Order: sequence, then C-alpha cells, then structure tokens
Amino acid sequence: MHFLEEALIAELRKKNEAALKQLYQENYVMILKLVVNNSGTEQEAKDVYQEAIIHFYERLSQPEFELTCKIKTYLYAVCRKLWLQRLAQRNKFLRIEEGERVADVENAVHEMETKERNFAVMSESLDKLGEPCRSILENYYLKGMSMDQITEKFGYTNADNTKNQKYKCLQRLKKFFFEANK
Amino acid sequence: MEELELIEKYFSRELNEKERGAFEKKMHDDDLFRQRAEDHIQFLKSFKQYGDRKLKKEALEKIHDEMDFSTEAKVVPLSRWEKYGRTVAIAASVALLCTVGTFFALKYSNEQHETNFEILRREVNGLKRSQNQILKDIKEKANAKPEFAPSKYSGTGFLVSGNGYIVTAYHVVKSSDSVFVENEKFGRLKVSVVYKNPETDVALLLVMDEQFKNLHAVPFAIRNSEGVLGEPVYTLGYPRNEIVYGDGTISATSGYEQNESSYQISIPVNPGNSGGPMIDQQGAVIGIVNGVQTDARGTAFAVKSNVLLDEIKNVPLDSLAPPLRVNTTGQLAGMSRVNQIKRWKDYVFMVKVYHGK
Repeated sequence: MHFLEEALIAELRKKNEAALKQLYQENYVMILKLVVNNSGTEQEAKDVYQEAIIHFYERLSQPEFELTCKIKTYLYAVCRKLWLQRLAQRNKFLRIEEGERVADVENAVHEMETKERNFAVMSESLDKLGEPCRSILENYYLKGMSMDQITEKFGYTNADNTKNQKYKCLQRLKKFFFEANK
Repeated sequence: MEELELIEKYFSRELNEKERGAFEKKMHDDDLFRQRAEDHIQFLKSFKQYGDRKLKKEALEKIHDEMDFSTEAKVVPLSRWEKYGRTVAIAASVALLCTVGTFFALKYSNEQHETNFEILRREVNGLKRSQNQILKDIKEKANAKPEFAPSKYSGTGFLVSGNGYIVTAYHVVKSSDSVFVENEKFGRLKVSVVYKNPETDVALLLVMDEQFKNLHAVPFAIRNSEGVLGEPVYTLGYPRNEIVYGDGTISATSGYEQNESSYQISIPVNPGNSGGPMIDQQGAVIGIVNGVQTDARGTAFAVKSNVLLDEIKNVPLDSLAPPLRVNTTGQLAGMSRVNQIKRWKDYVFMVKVYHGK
C-alpha cells in the first residue's frame, strides 16, 4: 500500500503505523545526503532526521496545524535549519543550499530544541537515579501500573512500602532534574 | 507526601468538583503551595513527555532498522525484460550509463569534503557486470532456479575460537539477511551474526551449521600488545574465490585521519579483503583489515587486535551461547612463514552476505 501526499497526511493524523513507516523511509536518504555532504556523520543525520519526524508527527496531531508545502519540502527545511544550528554550536559555518522557503521553520526548530533538551536532561537524570528507582517510576508514571502490581513485581512486602519507596525515588529524580535544568 | 499525591490527582483530573475547588483556592491563597504545585506539575509534564518521546524514538528506530537500502539501486523490474527485451535493453543501457555517470560525478564532487576512505567489501552483484551477462542471467533464472543465488557482498573472516566464533569487519555484514562462510577445509557453513559494532568496525559470527564439529582450539593467538612502526606483517583474504596472501609492514600506528584504534599498513589489498586477519611474524593476529585510502595507492588500514580483544571481553552473549575463549599465546611462533600460512589457511573463510530484494 502506498499513500499519496494527501492520503498520507490523513493517515498520519490517524496514527497509522504503515503511514509513519512510509513517511520515514521515503525521506531518509534526502536528509542523509544533506547532513553527510555537510560535515556530518550517518549517526548525526539519523538523529536530526528522527527529531524532525517526531516533530512533524506531533504537529500533525494538532488540528490547527496546516501544511502549506509538500512534506518533503517541510522536512528538508526543518532538518536544514536544525543541522545549521548544530554546526554553529560546533563553530563551523557552512552555507547549505536552501530549498523552497517554508514559513515558521524558526519557531518549529526552537521548539524542537527545547523538547530535545528536556528529553536529554530527563534521560540523564534517570541514568543518575539508577535501579530500581528508575523502573518503579517508569512503571508507575509512564506505563500506568498500579501500586499493587509494582509491589508484586519488585517484591515489596506491602503497597505502603512501595509507595514510600516511590516517593523517595521521585524526590531524588526531581532534585536531579531541577539541578540540571538550572 | 500526601501533598504530592493531591497535586498528582489534580494534574490527572482525578479530583471531584469540591476537592478541585479547594485545591484551586489553596493555590490562590498560599504562594508557597502554589510554587510547589507548579514545580511538581512541570516535572510531571516533563516526565510524561520524556516517556512519550522515548516510545516514539523506539518506534522510529525499528522503522530505521527495517529499511532496505538495496532497493534504491533497482532500475527496471525484472519481469518486463522478457516482454520488451530489446527496447528495454537500450533504455537500460542509457539508464545504466546515467547511473554510473551520476555515481562518478557525485563521487568526484564529494571528494573534497568527504572521506577518501573506502571499505573493502566486495560488491559481487553491482553495476559492474556487463549487460549481456545480466540478460543471460535472467534467461537462466527463468529456466532453472540455481541452487545458490550469487551473494550480494563478500569479505573475509577468521575463526578465533574452536567452538565456532568467527571475526570479520562490521561493514561486511552490516545489512544482511543471511550469512555463510566458506573455505576449502570446512566447505560452506551457515553462520549467524552475534555481535556487531559500527564504531570499531568489528563483527562476530557464530557457526550454526551441524556439519561443523567443535575444534580443540585454534593454533594462533590474538596479540594484546600494540604493533610497532615498521613491523613486518602479512594478510590472508578472499578478494577472489581463492585465498590470497599479501605482504607488507605497519606504516603508521594510527589509521585514517589519526584514528587511534587502527593501523596504516602498506599491503596491496583489494575489495573482499575486508575482515581478514593481519598477522605478525609470530603468526599471531595483530589486526583486522578494513579499508583503503582511495587517494593514496597501496595504503590500507586494519583495526588493532587489542581493540578486538577489548571488544570480545565486552560482548554481551546469550547465556545459552557457547563461551567465547581466545588464545593469547599461539603455537606458530618460530615457524617459517610458509608453514604458518599452511596452518592458518584452514581458519580463514570467505564471508558471503545475502540480503533480499
């Protein structure tokens, strides 16, 4: 099954996995070339690309978002801007040929950078926190497991103990998170 | 603690209207409380965003791994050849010319900022074959299915442990559906890729074939000390369907662009040599051949054996897999090179990599 542009957007809005796969695979080589031809590695290309895809996917889920150009153009513009910023951080200035102008790429990229930084800080804080705290918190807050399930899984004697443990873990994680964010 | 619970309930909208009203009033009246609540809500949001993003990243990673780059090279689907034979043959030769032309043009234009490092896996099935042969192949394919399709890439690998572990270069097996190794002594053996590291360009294969009987041990060692400048070394590999010997020296103790984990060697190597052993005078492995510099003739590179040893120590093996033991002392020291090679060649394999269309 292959979706055309309009159908692809509609399917992505419905969170169709096949559509996401198609979106990803159709545009990857373009960004790979963009980054690799401008002093980047394959890994860096992949990072930039995945951030852009996540961003695009999230934007589509906002009903007010309307794409005013082709998907390809949008992804290229976002990745180009993102990659230029990464290069600027490394003190390398390069001119990368600009594609078609796309409105509001600046804001999009700024938002992406904030989200990515937040992700990195949280990820680091969780690494610092270690086990079993990490798993307890992830199970409770992200996977939506109940206190009883966690009590059983981690072998605590009763739910109150687990709750206590979870509370301590949470306080430590918060400390790491806010320290890193300062 | 109870306060946090309350904030969390507020955040996830679990409070009833009355409780909610009380909570909001407290927020309004008590500045310190509001500060704590806002902090916690910000944190909870960040944590949820983290979880959400992690899931998405994992999903994309999966899609990425499923990607098949080989489809890009496809020019014309095969079935049409029979129908429009002649016309398509002409069109294809133009397309082929364009592809090759673009390939070289791109390659040339990239040369200034891109790498001059070329990996040495052999492209068996590339664009290089003549058109006649392609046509011939298609006819043959229609009539009879060959027992083994020609492999997509080939390289070299060598046995490091008697129970079937084979070392090769990561880039030889990087995209593979199935991998076989082959040499004169053992014939053709099915292997599976148990470990690969693009960082160091090292991969580890394990023989899965019932034909293969565990050997007592391999006769050679993997050297853990670093090689010195000017040290004589030699290579064994399969740039053709027959094992080929190459002789040379370590010409620098760092690799391409000062890469500390490899050597520069002056040995004529060819595509297909990748993953083969680089051997010192005592018959011990001192490196794994992995690439050449395209703008300097006769300059090749090999991953250092101590990097390989580190890697082997850290391989996360399945608990059911046979243990991976390597020698650090060998039996070949003091032997003449000819005799070393006689022993060695049984343990060097041609690595054949297949992946689907």
